[in-house]
Parts: sequence; structure tokens; C-alpha cells
Amino acid sequence: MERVQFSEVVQTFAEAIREVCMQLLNMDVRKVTEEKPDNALIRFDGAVAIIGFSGGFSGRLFLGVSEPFLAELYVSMGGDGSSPVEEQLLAVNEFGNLVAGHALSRVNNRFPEANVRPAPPSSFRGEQLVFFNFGMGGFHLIFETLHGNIEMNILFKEDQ
Amino acid sequence: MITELGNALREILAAFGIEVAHLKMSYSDLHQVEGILCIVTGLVENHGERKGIVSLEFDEAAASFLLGIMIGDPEGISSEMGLSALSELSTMVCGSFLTRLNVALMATPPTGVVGKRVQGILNTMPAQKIFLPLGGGTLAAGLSIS
Repeated sequence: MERVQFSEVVQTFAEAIREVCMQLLNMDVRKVTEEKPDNALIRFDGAVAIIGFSGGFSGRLFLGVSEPFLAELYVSMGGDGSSPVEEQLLAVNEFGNLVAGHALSRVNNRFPEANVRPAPPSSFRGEQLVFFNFGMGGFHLIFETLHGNIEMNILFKEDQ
Repeated sequence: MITELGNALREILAAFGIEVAHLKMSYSDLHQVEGILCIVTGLVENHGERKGIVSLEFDEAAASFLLGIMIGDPEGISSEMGLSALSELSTMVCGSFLTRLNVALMATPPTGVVGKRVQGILNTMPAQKIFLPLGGGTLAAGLSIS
């Protein structure tokens, strides 16, 4: 199998965020930071989608969205403005599913032997949330939008 | 399948000297989070469309009890070492579960979340769960798969 360049995979995920935001919300997003996280924990207040993937390589995608962005997302998916928590969770769930689906389709086209499959998305809300993964390395990106930031953290298993 | 997940969990807990007498089961239309700490592992099929989620969900008492046994620190829920230990427990349970099933499913790396008032939808598919009484609390293991 051609060696997968993880930095290229990360850029594919970043491009997928831009595309999904444009398609769903007609909204531009701008990457403002990209760094390698220095520990296994992510602290986040807000709504988060988590999507694991596995195949020729494996890892997981974290997408954290601000409250204003979540409200826009909910309305774009047919919500009426008053959003019960379960509906909000389903909205961020679908956002994560779309981003991971777009990105992994392109990754599999670029690296056909990778055959990487996304697991079902999971979504969370709560206070002082701490997300943790161990034995993985990757990138943390922040995107600026008209309705607050999107945080994307993508990690790959380190033995690959 | 949920029975095999229960057996996998029993086997791994037994390796830590924890014997589980009986399990309670439940079914729900959505795979939702219960507890303050949850570790979620995705399942994907190598050459097919089946996919799913396995979860381990701890309340504070169950997490504290297990961490006391695993790393000797019942307060470990707030340390990286404690979270890593529970993450490793999840990896062992999923590994044992997939070996028992003997099907072409691969596990994704586990992701954990801990926090206050955690609410979550782990999968939009129906889920089965088993509940174990543990250290005065409850450990739940959930499975939702297409």
C-alpha cells in the first residue's frame, strides 16, 4: 500500500469542513490555527461529534462547535429555533457524519488500498467535558465562522 | 451479540479479580449515554456495510471502584493515568468481544469523555445494554450495530 501521508489526510478533512459548511449553511469558514496537540486530553464546553474510523489506518475525528454555530446548524437541518437537547445532538451528529463521509471518500480515492470506513457518529453535550485518547498522535485545527469557532482534532493510531 | 459482550466483560473483570454474579439487560431505541464517564469504540466491517458502537459507561462509584483495583487510586478519574487505565479496559473488552464473535469487524480506537451532566447520543441505532453492579455503583456496556 502506498504510504499514507497523514498531513494530506488532515487537509482533506479541513476541506470537507469548508464544503459541508458551504453546502449546509452557505457559510465560509477560515482556518485560524493548526497545531500538534501535546497531550491526550481535550477540554471543551459545547457540542461535540466523535467519529472513529478504521481500515488501512485508524483514528478518530473530533468536531466541537460553539453554541451559535449549533443553533445555525439546527435551523439549517429543518429545526424551528427551539431546540431540545436531543435534536441538537442529532444535528451535530449529522454534521460530523457529513464531514467524515466527504473526507474519507476522498481519502479512499486518493489511497484506494486504505479502504478506511467511518464508524457511526456519536455526539455529546455537557459541562467541563474532557475527551481522551491514548497512544495516538495528530493535529488540532480551529476554524473561524460567522457564528463562532469549530474545533477539529484528528488523531491517528501511532503504530501505523 | 449482547450476551457475548457481557461474557467478554465478565472475562476481563475476572482477570482483575472481580466476579460478576448477574447482569441486568435493557433495550432502547437510541444508544444514549448513562453515567459521568463513557468510552466509545466504533465497529466497522472490512468489506461490508455493517457498523456499530460499543460503549462502556461508568457512574462515579463504579469508576472509582475499578480504578482502586486497577491502579490503586480510587480518585484516578481525574488523572491521565486513571483515564488511560479505563481506556485500556475498554480496548481489552472490545478485543475479547470481537474474538468471541469471530466476524470481520474491526474496532476503531476508543475515545473517552468525562464531565458534568454528560448527555450524548452514541449511535442513532437501537441499543442493547447490560448493567453490572460494581462497588456500589453501576457499569453499563452498550451495543448498537446494523
